[in-house]
Amino acid sequence: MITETAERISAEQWEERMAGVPEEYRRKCTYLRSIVPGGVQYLRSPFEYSCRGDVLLRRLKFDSSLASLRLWAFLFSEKDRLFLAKNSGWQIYAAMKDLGSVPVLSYAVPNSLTFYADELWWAPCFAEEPRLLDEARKLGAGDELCFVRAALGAMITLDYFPRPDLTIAAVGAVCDDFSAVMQLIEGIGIPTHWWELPVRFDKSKYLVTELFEKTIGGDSAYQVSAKKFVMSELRGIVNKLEEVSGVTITELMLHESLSRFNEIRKRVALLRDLVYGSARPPLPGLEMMLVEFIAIHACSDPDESIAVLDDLLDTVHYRLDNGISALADNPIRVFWAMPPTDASLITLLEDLGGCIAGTEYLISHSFYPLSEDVTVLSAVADSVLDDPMIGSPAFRAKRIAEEAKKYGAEGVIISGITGASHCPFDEKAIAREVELSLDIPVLSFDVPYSPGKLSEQVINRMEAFMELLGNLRKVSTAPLDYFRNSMSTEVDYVNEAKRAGRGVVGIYCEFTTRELILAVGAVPVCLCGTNASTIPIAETVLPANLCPLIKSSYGYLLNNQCPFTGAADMIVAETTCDGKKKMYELIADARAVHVLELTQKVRDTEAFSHWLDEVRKLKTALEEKFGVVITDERLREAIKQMNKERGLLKTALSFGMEEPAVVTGMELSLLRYRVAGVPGHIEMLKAFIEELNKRKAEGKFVAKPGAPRILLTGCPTGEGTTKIIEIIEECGAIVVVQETCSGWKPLELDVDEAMPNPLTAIAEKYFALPCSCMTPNTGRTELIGELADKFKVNGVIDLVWQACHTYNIESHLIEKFVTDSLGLSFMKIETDYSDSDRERLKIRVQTMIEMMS
Amino acid sequence: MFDELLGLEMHPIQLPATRTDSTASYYTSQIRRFVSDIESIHGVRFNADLALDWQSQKQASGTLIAELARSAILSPLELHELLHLWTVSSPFGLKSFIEDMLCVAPRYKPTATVIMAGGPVAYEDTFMLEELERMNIAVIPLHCTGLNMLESEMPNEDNIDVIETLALEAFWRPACARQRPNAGVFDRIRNEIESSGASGLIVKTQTFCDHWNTEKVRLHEAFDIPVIVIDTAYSEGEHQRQAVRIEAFIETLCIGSL
Repeated sequence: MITETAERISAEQWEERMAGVPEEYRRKCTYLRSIVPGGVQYLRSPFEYSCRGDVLLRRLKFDSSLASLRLWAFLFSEKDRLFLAKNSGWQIYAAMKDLGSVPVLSYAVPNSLTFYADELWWAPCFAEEPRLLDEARKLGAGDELCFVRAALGAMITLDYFPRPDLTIAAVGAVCDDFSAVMQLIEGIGIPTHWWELPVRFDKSKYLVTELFEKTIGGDSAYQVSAKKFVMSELRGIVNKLEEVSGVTITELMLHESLSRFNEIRKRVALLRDLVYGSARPPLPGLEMMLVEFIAIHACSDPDESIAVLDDLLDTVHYRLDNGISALADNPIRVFWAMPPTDASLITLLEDLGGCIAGTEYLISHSFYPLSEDVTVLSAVADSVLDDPMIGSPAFRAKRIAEEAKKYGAEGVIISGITGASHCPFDEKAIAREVELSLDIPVLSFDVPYSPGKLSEQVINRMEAFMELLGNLRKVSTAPLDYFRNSMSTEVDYVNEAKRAGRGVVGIYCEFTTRELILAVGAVPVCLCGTNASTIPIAETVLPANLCPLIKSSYGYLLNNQCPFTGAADMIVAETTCDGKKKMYELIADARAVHVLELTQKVRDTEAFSHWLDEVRKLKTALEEKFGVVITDERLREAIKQMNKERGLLKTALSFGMEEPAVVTGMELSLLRYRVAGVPGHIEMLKAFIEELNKRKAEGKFVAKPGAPRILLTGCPTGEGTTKIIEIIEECGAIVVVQETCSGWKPLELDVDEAMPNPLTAIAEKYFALPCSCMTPNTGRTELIGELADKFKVNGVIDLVWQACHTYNIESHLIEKFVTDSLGLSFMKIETDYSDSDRERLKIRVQTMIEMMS
Repeated sequence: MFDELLGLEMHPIQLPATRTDSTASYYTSQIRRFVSDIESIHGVRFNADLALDWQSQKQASGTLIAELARSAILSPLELHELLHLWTVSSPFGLKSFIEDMLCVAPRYKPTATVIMAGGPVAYEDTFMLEELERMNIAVIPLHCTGLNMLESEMPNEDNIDVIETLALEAFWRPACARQRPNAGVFDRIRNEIESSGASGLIVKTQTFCDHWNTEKVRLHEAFDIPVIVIDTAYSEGEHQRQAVRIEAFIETLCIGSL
């Protein structure tokens, strides 16, 4: 009964279609044929099951195949099977925690059914009412435990299953929540057999006398002593079953049960590979979740389980052959770790254009085939030792990363279980392993109990994550990854240069003529000063009411945490502002410092000659320090090198002119590296430009058409101090250009290579920098006007670091220019390096952008 | 994580939750492996005589501390410090040191006795003992860092397998709430109530300790004496509130006894 098309439909839609389900198919779907001749028909719609209490079903979307309808109906009719069997005199066993091992043994007992009481953790979510949790709380199992406590509630209400004749409870290498809940279940008088799960130790250099082997199914390394122990524990379970049932369980009976479970496992494993391995999965994620959970206990009817799975396999094969799927074209592939307590999360994922590409719901050991060449207890012990929950988080994480890779996942979602003890450890380990080995994004969150609707926070996070994965498809970030991590490359470069005998010169300001440093054969390195963490130590010496850039820079010198400070043979400082000027005096005792005196009245006729003298003095200082004569030839070579590097940077920043935007301000801010002349930087700048050209050609935009375009002016930003750019772009605008020293300003002019005197050419280039320390500083407004026009900006934001007097005061003039002359929106933001005012700033920026829109 | 992040030498040993011959045997095998690993890694030999001597000395001083706890001649804080001393000091000479100390120590004269069960009582939890001492109450410590850790039995036989004996001595120690089933915890408290005539039971739990927290309701229902559960989290902010609860609890006990 295979339909030609595939859709995701609601419970109500299924109800409407039920009249069209062939009678012949309904008659095929029966359970417990050994109790009721011909079996009991169970094919009802999800809507009908929702009317019986599981109202969450009305929020889900279902695959439209008959095979999937059968699957849902089979799962939700389990309760009926358990009561029918009990009323017919069968024994009912409740397994707990082992998730897949005990039923292989217990289904050897004739006239018995085994179910998992801990699977009831879904019940409060499906029923969207907390009665089971409330009942558990009355007995001491409150919110500090995970949802498995619902099993305790269900043991009291007996709404979901009859009173079990025996509970088989696995403890030991399980989480405390399970253990505590099972103890309380025994405490209310439910007969309980306890058995011990061993911890599966990882091989380690300290376990020198322990012997290790590997499981046949899952290839998990385990200590040999644990295998023997598990077999003795399993023998204890068989003995207990014999005692409770009065039946002698033979190896043949056990083997028959094992073979039947192998039939189920084989089908589940095949379905997983076919569905998760497909670019457009032929079955949606919810149906696959149900399939996986059939593997652990056959949904209280092993024979019908096999029929249900066969039906699904036929549908999957047909759909694969005919390219049919209910999911979106080219869905975003997500690996899901941990069972999602709220099934509607999977529906949400698919609504957002995703698909499930592999899972690890803590039951993966139930998909491996059981060996039929060894004793049943040995085969089941192997399965027990494959349990992901009894080993280390690192082992589990590695497995998850392997599976995510196998199914080509683009991202991993870890849905933590609120209250669970092991989750925080496992989640971190999984996230770290996936990021390290696969370098794909991971989203990790706890799923709160929120009947009636998904938590808004979870929805927002899922939406953002899927958007991120979508953007990653659109945009290559390889060159940016290089610049994001360029610090380590630069440290290596500087250290290598030192080893090779080159000098290193630390600098702080764009007025420092890098060409002279390169011409002397040294490496110009911009020293650290953009991190809030070094401010407290600086304030032990410097006054607190000083700008954060100065304090951070000085803090780095005090605590020696800047990786370049130690390598610097000298520091070139400059007299931009009073704070910096006096700070340099404090470091001059411990460091070789050369101060460039800036000429602040740039319009005076003698101003340039003074500046040229300063540049000349720097040249002499460098020559003396490094014992190298800076010839015109060397200067010209350095000028060419710096012009080339500036040219590439300028080309990259010019992509900010594109509308719609092909590059974000945050991406461009990554190009603000520290060391000039690094060959890798040049190559990656070229690669980035190429990437941006590609984005432009392919129409891959990073913002919507019409997104507000912001020019950022004022104080420089740097790694660790980009919060304003982040905020602007979080609010939906794009920083198309920074007029600042960390943006366009130092790139505006090149050094004139045609001038006869290269030193004069260099001095001219730097003399023209429109810094707020100059008076008057008309060059800044001219540049803002020019950039506003070229980059088609809608608004200007003036960033002023607290206590930066020159930019602070000049802001008044800038505002006047921007609003009166350019007619654009303007906002001045005065802040420091801390994040404490981020939310307040965000509201201001949001308001500005809203008004601009 | 200790091994991976801190590079510490780690020897994993699983303490089974169930207490059966099978789990006892598994636990013993792990202790054997641990000893072999230590010998192999550090090039030392296990000295069975020294281990037995160490354990018997430990047990002798432990037995003395248990007697002192039940005779209520030490204040709650003194007893707590003695228990701490027992855990950190060498057992050699410890018993005679305690005996010498007792000769000069003033006798505590409590007005009532309570049993304190539950999880570990840490340095950060001593505010509870201070409050009880202020109210002149004696405490029989049946919690994880109380008599549970020092009351054990060693076979008095020759030619024993020392490693197995020491492993089993640890394995069969008095019941812990983590044991499955944990009926032994309730039996032990019940027996202590009967033999000591204690007026009340304080159950000391730690926030998020599932094993004790989930037993709150059953512990309230299991005994004929008043029970209070004190949940602590090493946070000074809660001390005042919990001290007031203890004070009210003791006042209720004393009114009841009048």
